[in-house]
Amino acid sequence: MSGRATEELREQYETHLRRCHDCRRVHRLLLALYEDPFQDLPEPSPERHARMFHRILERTDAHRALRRPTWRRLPLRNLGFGVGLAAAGIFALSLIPATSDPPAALSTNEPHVLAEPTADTGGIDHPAQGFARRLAGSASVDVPNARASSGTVYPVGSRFRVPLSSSLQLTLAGKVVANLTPGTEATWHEASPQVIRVELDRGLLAMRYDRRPADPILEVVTPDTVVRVVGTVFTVQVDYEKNTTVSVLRGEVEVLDTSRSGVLAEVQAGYRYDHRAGTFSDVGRSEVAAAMPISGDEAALAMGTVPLGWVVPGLSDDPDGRHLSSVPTGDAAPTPTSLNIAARRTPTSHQDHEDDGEQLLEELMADAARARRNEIRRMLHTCRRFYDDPDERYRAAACLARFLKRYGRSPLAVEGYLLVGMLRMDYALDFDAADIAFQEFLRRAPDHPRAELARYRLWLSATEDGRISQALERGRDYLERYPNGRYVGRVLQRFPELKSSL
Amino acid sequence: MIERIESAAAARHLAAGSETEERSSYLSAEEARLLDRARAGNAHALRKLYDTYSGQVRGHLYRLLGPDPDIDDLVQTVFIRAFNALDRFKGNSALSTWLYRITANTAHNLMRQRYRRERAKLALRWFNLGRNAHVQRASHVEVRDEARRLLARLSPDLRQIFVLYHYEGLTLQEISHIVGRPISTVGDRLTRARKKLKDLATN
Repeated sequence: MSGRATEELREQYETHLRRCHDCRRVHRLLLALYEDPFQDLPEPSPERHARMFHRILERTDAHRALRRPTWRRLPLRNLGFGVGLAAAGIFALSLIPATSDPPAALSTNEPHVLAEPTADTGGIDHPAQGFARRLAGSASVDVPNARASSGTVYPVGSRFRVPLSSSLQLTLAGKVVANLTPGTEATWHEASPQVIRVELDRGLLAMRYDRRPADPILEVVTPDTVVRVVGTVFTVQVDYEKNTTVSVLRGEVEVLDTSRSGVLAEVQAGYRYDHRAGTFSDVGRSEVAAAMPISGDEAALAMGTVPLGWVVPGLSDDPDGRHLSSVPTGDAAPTPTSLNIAARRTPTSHQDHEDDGEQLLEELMADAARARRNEIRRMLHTCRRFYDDPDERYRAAACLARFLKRYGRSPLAVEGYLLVGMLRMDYALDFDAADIAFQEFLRRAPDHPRAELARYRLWLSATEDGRISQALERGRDYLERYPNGRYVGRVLQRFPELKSSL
Repeated sequence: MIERIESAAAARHLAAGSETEERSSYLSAEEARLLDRARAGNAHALRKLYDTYSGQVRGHLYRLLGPDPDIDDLVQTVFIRAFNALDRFKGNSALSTWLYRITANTAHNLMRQRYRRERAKLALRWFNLGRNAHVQRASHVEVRDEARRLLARLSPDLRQIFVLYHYEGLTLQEISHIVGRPISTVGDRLTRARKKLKDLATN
């Protein structure tokens, strides 16, 4: 009929349609069919759109190649030149110790290691790894033997004093990247297959350590603690009162007492631990700013954003919104959060106990609690990984169900409810189940760093499900609680009439 | 023929990633520059491509598969494949056509699996709907849903051609390029799809 039938034929057809019920039904059906019945395509939220792009980027070969170290991107024809250069470099470095102390004295504390690597020497197995290299910035450096330093290469034992007008970026042992902020004083004490040790006297030190299984542990020693790292991005600060503050952006670190006999705290990504106050708070802008130059995420660096892998409470998941200026400045005097009670300072050996049996019991209980905490975190991490990976997401629901069944009552497991809610909402469109999960999450941890996200999701669930009066109520509640929140714009975009709630 | 040779030469030049004034006739100078940067792994260029074409890819998948929780994952798969194959894109077609082709290939196996698995279920549902069709007059939404169900009963090959021609508005030549079949085959499938839909709607 589409323009090809004559006027007379069309009139006959329409007359017939008016009389024939079945023909009208078929006509309407064919009309719907040819007019595209798929015009109600749901658009993803900007947040999901950006998240999807980031995942695509992570799996794009060309982009990954761009992020690889420069020497790995060199074409093969340059390989011969590269090998020659490397050989010359190694030869030159091997001459340096020969003119100074023997290589066995690379550690100022324990004479040790690099000269005779054994089968289990781990990731430190080359003499060149006994040196730090300056990447950028400037500082006054005290080198134990001045002849061992070329101006940009420093041996173990070097002491760095960064002036107030500058900062210094270094690689240590070819594995750890450090940013020493203005006013920082630190000494590199040891590089052995077991441990890389740095002593921080004062100032703010940011470090990134992408540790492989055979690599040594990294320790940052401060006047009152030892921060032990297995692989993460973190900062350590020693203030003028010699108090230590540890902030973690990715991974987890342990804070030990100076004798290394007891764990004072385990600090997870997104938290700042104040040793003297024994409290936790959210990481703030100063720590993120110190760590950004060493993030290693070229895409994030190019766009001037905080890497998506870092946990920064109060910062959007949308890559475009993760600018440093959006990071909350953080409290000067951190306040404890309800969730971290379990991870707080544990009674350890620096307290005197008259009864050895009681002390032993307490230690055993502390060990058991720590083991359980680690188990919970590991399993939650596994479920989160499934959730984040499109190929494995189908396993996330079962994983979270198992997780909540086993650990649902633990305060550390509360994030599981949030993930379940998001999974039900985004992938099953089961808004009722999502509501229950978000409400349970908020009931258990109303002050959790992700409570804002849960309240936003509650609002979104009601909105997407068409429960408008409930959406208005939840939107009002959200705006009253978070007048400067991350999602204020999105709530107002849907319901401009809620502006008066601000 | 000369045009084709010139086009191929331009595409080879593009593939080499070098700047040139000689470009594929399917690509604007801006698109060619964008592609050069995307091939080098530039995040901004890749983001631009993603922003420009994600709507097309998503819409096409939606029309091929219907409402589906896996659409987001498939969109990601399409773009990962596309971005990893940018070096092999020779500029012999518009970028959108090339992406249609990747989308069609990505969705095709899934469509076939589902069609095989759900054929009996769909037929039963259709039968029950047909029995009650005279009882009440269908609303606009119900007619739309019925049209979708009807489309779901087309075999994947026929549905793909029907969607590309009627919903995406492509020509038979473009569809032929996307599905890698002669134009005569595409035309034949389109006729069969229309006839099948008419039979289903009439019954």
